[in-house]
Amino acid sequence: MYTIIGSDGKQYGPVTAEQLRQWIKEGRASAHTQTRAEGAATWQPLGSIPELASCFGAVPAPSAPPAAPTAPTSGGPVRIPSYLPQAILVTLCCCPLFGILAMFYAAQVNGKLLAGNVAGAMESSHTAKTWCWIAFGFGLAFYIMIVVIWPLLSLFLGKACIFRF
Amino acid sequence: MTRNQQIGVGVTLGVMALLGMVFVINPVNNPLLPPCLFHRLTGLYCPGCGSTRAIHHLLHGQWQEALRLNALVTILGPLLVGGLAWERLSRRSVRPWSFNQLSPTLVWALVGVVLLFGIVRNIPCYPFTLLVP
Repeated sequence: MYTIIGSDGKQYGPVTAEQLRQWIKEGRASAHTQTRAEGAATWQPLGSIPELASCFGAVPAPSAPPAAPTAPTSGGPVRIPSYLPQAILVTLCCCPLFGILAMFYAAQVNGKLLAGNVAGAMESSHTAKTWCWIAFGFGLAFYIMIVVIWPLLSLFLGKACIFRF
Repeated sequence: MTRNQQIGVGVTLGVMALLGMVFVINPVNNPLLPPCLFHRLTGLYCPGCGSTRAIHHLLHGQWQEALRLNALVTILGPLLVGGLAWERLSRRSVRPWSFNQLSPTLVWALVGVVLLFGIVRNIPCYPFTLLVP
């Protein structure tokens, strides 16, 4: 069973070798596609897996033709959303505390990707995404509290309401 | 329309609705656009304080006033939103661009600028007080 990273940067699988052969035929995966065998810790190009090397014919993996538009000319073979713009925007507009955490993880993605640490980059990307949503959720919750719930409360409580926005 | 496209259209409409609201409503003393909660609770200015007013003025073409209220949002906001749009639109083009192509140094520099802006605008003496919204 194998898991691959598609040209959209998302993980697909785990799927059988049979399914992978089908994807290679359809051009959805190429020799450069990052692949991880089940139980393995590291990612490697699809072309370097012995069980599947036959799909790419006699052509050795590094010089295999780019069957699918998997590899953009610059920026590495895989694209992993860094969530950097989202993290900065939620820091500025929603919640600075959790936004800073989101920025911290988002900033790690490109460096890890450049160092070839695809799994680490995906992990940072995922954590950054989670903190972005938490920051956004906090901002939205406070907005609803201040704009809807607080005025209603002060309407009923009147003078008992000390803290006013 | 795929699910991905639906999300794209949804997010675009949401952002446009928010911008429209900030364009129409003057945030000063308006209950619908409350001031920064962080500032209310701590008395400090966060890097985003003044951004609602800055966006309001920017949408009305008064960029000097927007810069004075929050220089970071005025400069970085349009760049980041434009970058996100470009990343999405160029995905299926011959030369796709993504934020992954920014060098790690530039990425950390951006994060540093945001944090530094939040610190510097709280220093209570002359050149820094210009950054107070």
